[in-house]
Amino acid sequence: MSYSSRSTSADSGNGAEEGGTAPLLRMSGISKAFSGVPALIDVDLDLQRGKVHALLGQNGAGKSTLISIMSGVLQPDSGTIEIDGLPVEFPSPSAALEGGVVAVYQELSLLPNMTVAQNLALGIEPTRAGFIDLRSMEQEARRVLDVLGATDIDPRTAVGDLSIANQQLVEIAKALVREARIVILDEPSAVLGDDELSLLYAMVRRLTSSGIAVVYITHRLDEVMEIADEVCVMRDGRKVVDEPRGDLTQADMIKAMVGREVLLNAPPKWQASRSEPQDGPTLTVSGVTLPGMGSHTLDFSVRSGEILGIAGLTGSGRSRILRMLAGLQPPSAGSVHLGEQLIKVRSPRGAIAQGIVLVPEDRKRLGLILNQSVLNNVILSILRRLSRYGWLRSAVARTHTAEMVESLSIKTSGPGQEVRLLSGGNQQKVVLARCVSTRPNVLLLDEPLRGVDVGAKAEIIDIVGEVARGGAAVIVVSSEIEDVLALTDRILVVHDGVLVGELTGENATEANVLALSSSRNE
Amino acid sequence: MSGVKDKVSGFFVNGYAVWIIVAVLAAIASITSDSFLTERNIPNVLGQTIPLIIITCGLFIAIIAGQIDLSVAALVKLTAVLVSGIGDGDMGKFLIAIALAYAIGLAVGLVNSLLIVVFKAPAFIVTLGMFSVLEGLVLAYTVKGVGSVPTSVINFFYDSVGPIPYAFIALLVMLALLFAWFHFSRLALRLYAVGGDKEVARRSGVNSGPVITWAMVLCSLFAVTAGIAQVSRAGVGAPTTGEGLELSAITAVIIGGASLLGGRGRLIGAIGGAVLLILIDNALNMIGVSQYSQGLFRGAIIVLAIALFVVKRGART
Repeated sequence: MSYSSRSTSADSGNGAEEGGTAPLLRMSGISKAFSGVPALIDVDLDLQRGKVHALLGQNGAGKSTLISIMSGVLQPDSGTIEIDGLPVEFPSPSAALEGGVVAVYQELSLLPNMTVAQNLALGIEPTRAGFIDLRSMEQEARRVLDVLGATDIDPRTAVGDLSIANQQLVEIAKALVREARIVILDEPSAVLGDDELSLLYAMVRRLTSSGIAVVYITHRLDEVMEIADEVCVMRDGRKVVDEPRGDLTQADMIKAMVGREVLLNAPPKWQASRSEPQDGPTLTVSGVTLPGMGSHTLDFSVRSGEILGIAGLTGSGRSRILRMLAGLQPPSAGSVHLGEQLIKVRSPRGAIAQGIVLVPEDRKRLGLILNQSVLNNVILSILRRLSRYGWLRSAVARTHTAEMVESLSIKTSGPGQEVRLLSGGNQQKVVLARCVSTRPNVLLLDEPLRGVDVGAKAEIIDIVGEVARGGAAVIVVSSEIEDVLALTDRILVVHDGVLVGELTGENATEANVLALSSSRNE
Repeated sequence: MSGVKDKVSGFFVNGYAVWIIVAVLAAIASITSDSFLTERNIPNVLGQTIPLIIITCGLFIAIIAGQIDLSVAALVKLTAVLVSGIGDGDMGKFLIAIALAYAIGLAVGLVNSLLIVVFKAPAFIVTLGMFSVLEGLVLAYTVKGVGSVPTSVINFFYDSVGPIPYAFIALLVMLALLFAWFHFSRLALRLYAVGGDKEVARRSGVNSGPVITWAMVLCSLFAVTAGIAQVSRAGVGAPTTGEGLELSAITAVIIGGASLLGGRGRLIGAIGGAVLLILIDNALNMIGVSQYSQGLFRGAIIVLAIALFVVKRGART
């Protein structure tokens, strides 16, 4: 449609005059329940033209349900939606698209083998005499990408060849081509590195300056402070705060999300027990060269009971260290010892046998069998221990799962519930439960707090502390310096596969970590 | 609303829904036809279900592990002609032929899994190739009916306790063991894990290679067993024995609620699917639907079953 000569609402930018004083989108009295359990209770929400509305809340607070209703994926049990003051109904996502509502999820819906222009035009390809009009398709792509400030993306490149940040940009461009007036961004920053964040902010500002309302979902409050105009906080299916950002502090937002006062910088409660050495084996890495990271060697060790953090920029090799230890990418040189014993692992199975387990970065893709039960996922690594002569002792398996659900406070309707139905924080706890079940000597965690809400974060930090006190050596890798600081006793900073520094105690500050991370390429 | 839907789809995934259609169809057939619930027809239907149920069990194992096996019907065929041809009515030779058939089945399963696991070829292609090879072997051996099955073995499939053939009782025992195995064995859980997500399973310490090998070998051994049942009911093995069984078995597994992508489904549903397919054919005959329009009805019932249950599942995340 937008390939015709008339301009899209993205350029017109005068939407504010058309609807008078009515908000662009108004949701009133929206309620929704699943199997009798309320997910949304009487929620009102107004979206204003040209404003960024941050939507905050812990996992399970109702954010996803709310945007699903807004974008036609789910139907409300009661309540109404108006656009420009006129009542509308979105029985399907395509109806919502027609109404100008476009949702951009973390999982991008692009076809990697097709070009940017083809992706943008998918389903609404311009034709001339019955044939696809490639030229006008590419021109339109160029125009929309320019509107977003992405002048360096060639519409003829295959989407799969672009960086994640640029793919996200293409996804948003797709919304523009479809004349979006309301763009919902579901945790857009979760897949981006820090350097790409400014690009995202710039793009969001371009969207709002053309009169589009943006719904911005995130767990990161610094982003809210940076980009949001209005802040809406959800808790237990209700809207608890809806105010201009200027009227709120970060502490106000956290308080609204968790429903109680939380001291922002208070140390986690187990921190008193930090640096208490336990009498398990020490993990020693000597002279190890990571494949694909040149000939630099790594030397470090982690005591039993210690939580070591590894910080570094994206691509610095921080995740490779964990993958090497977990048997996913054997080192090209060097040795790893656990206590006195030389460890040579060439597969995750071998690593687990030596008591080394990894909580992977991407839990949905690599950590969980999503369409299977909590029980199946929890016991997967300890099937041998739970069975005798090849027969699974199901009573023992159930008891074990129940204990794990209890001790990690996993919120689930039962051990038979499919893990895809759990919230992000609870999914992460299921992965942890599986790893902890193996009674590890070494627990490796890659981005353990990513996409996890404030409440679950604190719980996961506690669990990791517990595992360390149980005698495991723990290594945490995260792109969030705050998370590394919150979790660990000692921090190693890597850069291009080389250890460039070690920080402990008072020296372990965000500024020092950042300074070391970028130290070598000045 | 969605609560009811969840229950319905849960019911379906648990594999019971297909049994409702079986019951409804059986009820319709008994009301509309005098010959359905008779001493002649009941043992006949039960007997007919035996080979399909056995082969469905094997295919179910392969499908749960995320694989597929298109060579099963050809293996049924090869088993049938070998057992009948070599045995030729003699019990001793018959038993030797059965041992040979199982050895071939083992080899077929191992070759299939070698190509899948080591050479990373897709199961679809591998087993399609194996299908051709086995068909070729059958035709090289014989192009027409050959030999016979010992009478005592045939009798085992036709003599009955009341309306229930002995062989059917043997089948029930085998199914009971298989259910227990699915419920309690470590390998069964690994089948689901590998079929559900190979990479997650690997990272959790469950390597897919041995699991897929077991699945393909078990599937082939079930196919050999189905071949023995099929030829014993027929009395003579021919190159037409078991034609098209692989498609019926795949259909049965899918109607029963399993996912073709693996990792999801219940054995009880797959068996229900097999029973339904046999029942459809028999009921259509009994009700007096002409041979020519039976295909239409069969297809309609299958599509209805899938539309009612399978499509609803997994639509929400």
